[in-house]
Amino acid sequence: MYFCMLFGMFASVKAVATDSVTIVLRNHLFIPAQVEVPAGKKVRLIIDNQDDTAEEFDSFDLNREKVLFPKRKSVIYIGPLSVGEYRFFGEFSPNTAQGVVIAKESSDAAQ
Amino acid sequence: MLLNSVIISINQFLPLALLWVLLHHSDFGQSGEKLPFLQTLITCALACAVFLGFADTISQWFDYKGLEMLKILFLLGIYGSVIAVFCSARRVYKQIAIVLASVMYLSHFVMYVSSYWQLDTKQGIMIGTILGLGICLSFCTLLFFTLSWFKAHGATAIVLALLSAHSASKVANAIDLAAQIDILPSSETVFDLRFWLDEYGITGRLLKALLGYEATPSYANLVAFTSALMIAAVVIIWRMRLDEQKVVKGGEHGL
Repeated sequence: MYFCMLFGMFASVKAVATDSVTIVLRNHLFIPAQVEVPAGKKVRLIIDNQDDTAEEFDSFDLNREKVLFPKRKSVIYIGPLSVGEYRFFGEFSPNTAQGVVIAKESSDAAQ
Repeated sequence: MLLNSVIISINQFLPLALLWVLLHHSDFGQSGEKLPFLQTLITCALACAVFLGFADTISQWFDYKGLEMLKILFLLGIYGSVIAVFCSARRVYKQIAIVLASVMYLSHFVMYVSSYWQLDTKQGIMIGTILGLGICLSFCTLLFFTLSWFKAHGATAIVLALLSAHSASKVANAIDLAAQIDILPSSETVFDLRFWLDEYGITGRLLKALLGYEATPSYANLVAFTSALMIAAVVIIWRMRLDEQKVVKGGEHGL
């Protein structure tokens, strides 16, 4: 009952998802490594892992963590974000798989 | 690869080891039953193997939201099991919590090893894992004896408070996962403590694993953590009073 109340409390103010951005993971690199999104809006990140190995999308700044299975697509919702930079990385290949989400005012964001 | 293996093994083994230590010390008085090590270990290994066999397929269900949905259930299951431990201290609830946590965390580690285990990397992975396990073991040993000291000096409440905070962080984590797949909306960040202590450093990681520390918690995350903590506190107080009443009744019968 507690869990239903908890989920119901926040689900009642659920907003509609808007933009989608696709990121490809190839040779342990996020392409593009820099993603610009509109501030104040929810964004759907589609991550296409084209490598033969699993990876874990991790971001302390965005509070997101997801296993990316090889040759599979994954979806993560982020935002609405305040203007600023939010780092993300691949936990299994942190030296190469790095990226940043840049939240800009809507008119400045080029997706 | 070596350093990466150290970090990943710490990240994945530490939450499980911490939960085990906290549950070991969670008994009220002498009522608790200890976890059978080998039996729990075998159950964890079997559960991980089954999960890994289907995780790839499950991740594609419900518009790529399947894995998060399952993990939300696991996290809430861990919290529920800890609450059940507070209520009855039965061994089965401790085992459920440990098995669910092992599926959550160990499966990630197995995925990492199976993906990167090659001739030129296996030495780095092996040494890194041993080092990571050593660090986990050292920290958990320190925690184990610290908690034993607290219990010996009548400060069981501190042990239970730690376990409550640890389990409440699972609920907060479940809320973040729900926001990640758009079941719940992402709420705004309440405060930003990254200038003081971020989660990239060792202290931040330890606090995150032990108490669910978040440098930038969302409103939903904070509400979930606080409410889960309050429920755990209410259950602990109720159980302590129940035990006190039993002791009083026992004393009266003795007279």
